[in-house]
Amino acid sequence: MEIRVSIDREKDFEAEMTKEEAENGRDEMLIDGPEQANTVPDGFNATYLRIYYGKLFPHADIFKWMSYGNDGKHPACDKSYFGRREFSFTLENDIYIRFQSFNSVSELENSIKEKCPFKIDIGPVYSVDPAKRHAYAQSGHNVFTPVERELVFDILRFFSHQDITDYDDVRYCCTGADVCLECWPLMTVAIKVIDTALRDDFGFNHILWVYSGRRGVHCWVCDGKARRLTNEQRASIADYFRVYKGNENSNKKISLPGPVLHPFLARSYTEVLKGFFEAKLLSKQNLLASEERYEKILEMIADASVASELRGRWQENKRLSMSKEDINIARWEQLKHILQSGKQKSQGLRRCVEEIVFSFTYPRLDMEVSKHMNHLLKAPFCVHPKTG
Amino acid sequence: MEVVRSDRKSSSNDVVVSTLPLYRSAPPLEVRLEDFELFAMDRLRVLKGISDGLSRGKKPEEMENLAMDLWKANMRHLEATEGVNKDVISHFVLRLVYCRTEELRKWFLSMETALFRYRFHSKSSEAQRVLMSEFKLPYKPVSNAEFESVKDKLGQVARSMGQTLPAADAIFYKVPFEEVPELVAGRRVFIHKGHAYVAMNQVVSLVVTQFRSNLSKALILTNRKWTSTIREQEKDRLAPIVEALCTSYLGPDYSQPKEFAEISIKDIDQISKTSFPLCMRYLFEKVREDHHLKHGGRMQLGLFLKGVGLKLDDALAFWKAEFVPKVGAERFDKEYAYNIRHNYGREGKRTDYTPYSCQKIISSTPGVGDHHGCPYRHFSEENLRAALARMGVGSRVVEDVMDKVHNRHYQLACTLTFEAVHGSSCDAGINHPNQYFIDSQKILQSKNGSVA
Repeated sequence: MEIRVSIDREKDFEAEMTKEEAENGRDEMLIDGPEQANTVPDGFNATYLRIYYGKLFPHADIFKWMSYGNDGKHPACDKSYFGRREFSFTLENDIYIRFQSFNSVSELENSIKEKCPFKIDIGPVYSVDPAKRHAYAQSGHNVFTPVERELVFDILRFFSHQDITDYDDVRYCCTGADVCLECWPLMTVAIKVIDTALRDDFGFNHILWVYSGRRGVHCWVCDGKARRLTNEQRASIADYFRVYKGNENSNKKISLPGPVLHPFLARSYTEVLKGFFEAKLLSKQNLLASEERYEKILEMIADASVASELRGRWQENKRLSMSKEDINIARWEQLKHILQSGKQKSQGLRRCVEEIVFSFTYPRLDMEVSKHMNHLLKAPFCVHPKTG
Repeated sequence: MEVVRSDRKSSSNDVVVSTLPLYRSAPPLEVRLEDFELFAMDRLRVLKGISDGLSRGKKPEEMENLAMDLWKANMRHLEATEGVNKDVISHFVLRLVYCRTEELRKWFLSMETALFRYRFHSKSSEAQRVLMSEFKLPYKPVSNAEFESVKDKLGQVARSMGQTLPAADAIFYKVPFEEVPELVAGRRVFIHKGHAYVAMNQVVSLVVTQFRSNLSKALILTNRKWTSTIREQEKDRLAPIVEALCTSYLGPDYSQPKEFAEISIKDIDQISKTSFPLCMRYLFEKVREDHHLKHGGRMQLGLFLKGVGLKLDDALAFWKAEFVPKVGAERFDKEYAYNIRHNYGREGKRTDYTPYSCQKIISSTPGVGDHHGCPYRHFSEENLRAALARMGVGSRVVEDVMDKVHNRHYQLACTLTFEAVHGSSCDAGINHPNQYFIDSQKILQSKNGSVA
């Protein structure tokens, strides 16, 4: 299965990948969706895995990337750097081994080829070689501790076009893990929102986006500044991106308080989310075409009388000659018109429009992934055990 | 900081006064030994008051007022310069006291940071700006030109928080976003290319974070010095003071009952039901029931009764009446009378023992067959609920009380009980069984005009 990703390249000794999209400047962020299913006939099995690790897996590139220049020759290089990085392997039969570390690219390569892990995870760079951690455990002064780790994000794939009534926390599209062409654009939207913020707001430059094989998309921010962030700082960035609060019990789970949106949210809305929602999602997903569907949206309107006014209008116009897509757009316009009209005093009501758009389009992050330096995240270029 | 004996007059101490000291380093002052302890105790009252207020869930504005009141009440000292010395000295003494374990450090760090935050916030913006520069944080105010270019975004951020637009001459600081995680997490600042634009009123956050971080490091260092050199050096002088300070009870000792001087035995039954805190009521009931009480219980109840105003003769009569059915008159005179007289300072080294404070009672360890201790801590949940019901505490209040108990705020639990039983609030909180008694009598007296 082909996975192409694009990464930024910087002139100095920071991450240099050999995959070529790298020539592009920062504006072009080509992410190919997963191509259609495997060229390998039988799905996944260990033989193909062995071949993959033998011939395709980019051991040298990973080594070069994770060395961040420390594999070079000049005096500032820290030879111990790569060896202090934790890897973990998931072997056949779900055996899981942590704290694997390697001092050279050949050690890395040999171990992978020999063990043929079904999954490889990457952890932080520790203060000392993880293999020697027990020697330092006694002193009790936190000598074995993470010192660097990329800033990472896991954007969850969600939204079932088949089952729009499903408001569980994480909604899987399609059945199981197949990717459909419907939900991929949502991922693209999510990536645009987060990527822009990481660059424009936070000033990061070295950002890698990788399809994680099943549940969504991973983001690896590799700037030195990012790698050295503390857990608290990582959590604060994750919270900056967080818009969903609450759990299964609350209807909407998005709350955008205040008379005006924070510049980050406003920019995301006007530059990405609104356009996508109105031009694509609304019609493609028939969000307002049937009673079952539009009820879910009406539920999000804080004022019951406004909701029932719309409900009344739409129930009357059930049999329109217009095509389905036009119905969605027309109704959306009606909804916006009512909520945003000058008559509405409550600003909470005006805000409902944005809240609805956000709830369908704004990315959902797995917060736990980002908050801790020692979180183990699947390595790029891994072949996913379940999708092959 | 040099500690001198009290008979030596301290030399004139010229310390440069800052409006709010940052406690960067121990000042080159001489301190009298007694001031060493007294200053620290006064500051500790402030910190404990803050701790109390926070666990009672007071809102930030209330906390700020509380903190400033506590400060005024306890930290004023002679002239202004002396006041600042006391501030600085007391802080450094408490560092010694609270550096010694992780738990102590955590508590001290939280309270000192809170105190600093309230004091900082109460200063004028000009004073705050001066203090900011003392922190030597490498942040400069945003230039006018830059301000113009980001003004709209800054306004958007302000409005998104329901605030008014910043004035044309408003000061903003440009700091790396890593320095203000709370503001980033709450989207309360405009961030651009890695820099956050922090408004003057948010500066508190910056400064407090820095204060906290400095103090945290300092405490670790202090602990190292303490364990390696100071504790040994000061074994006979400062160490005992330091070790006693963090467990000290800071209120009145109730050893000399004043207002309700004479309580006679015939009154006791009645008052026990109306004005005794649960711990003493329980002990009293047990004595009546079992005609006996083990040593811990005799001490706790006996000293309490002394504080309540029971005279020695009446005390002897009381205990004798209770114990004789069990142990006989002769044994009582031989084995128990002496100790009662001892408690009243009539025997042995003639120390007039003081009634136990809540702190002391809570930290006691009653064993099998003991009935002393603090019921809120030492009773099982079932027994405590039953006891509260017997006192007439309504079921909703019982839930509140149990909530405090689960969070280990035993004195707050007792305070809630007091308030429920008496139908009025007790703002100061219960710190001492005799305080409970006195406050209770006050309320009842004002209601009935007699000892209830």
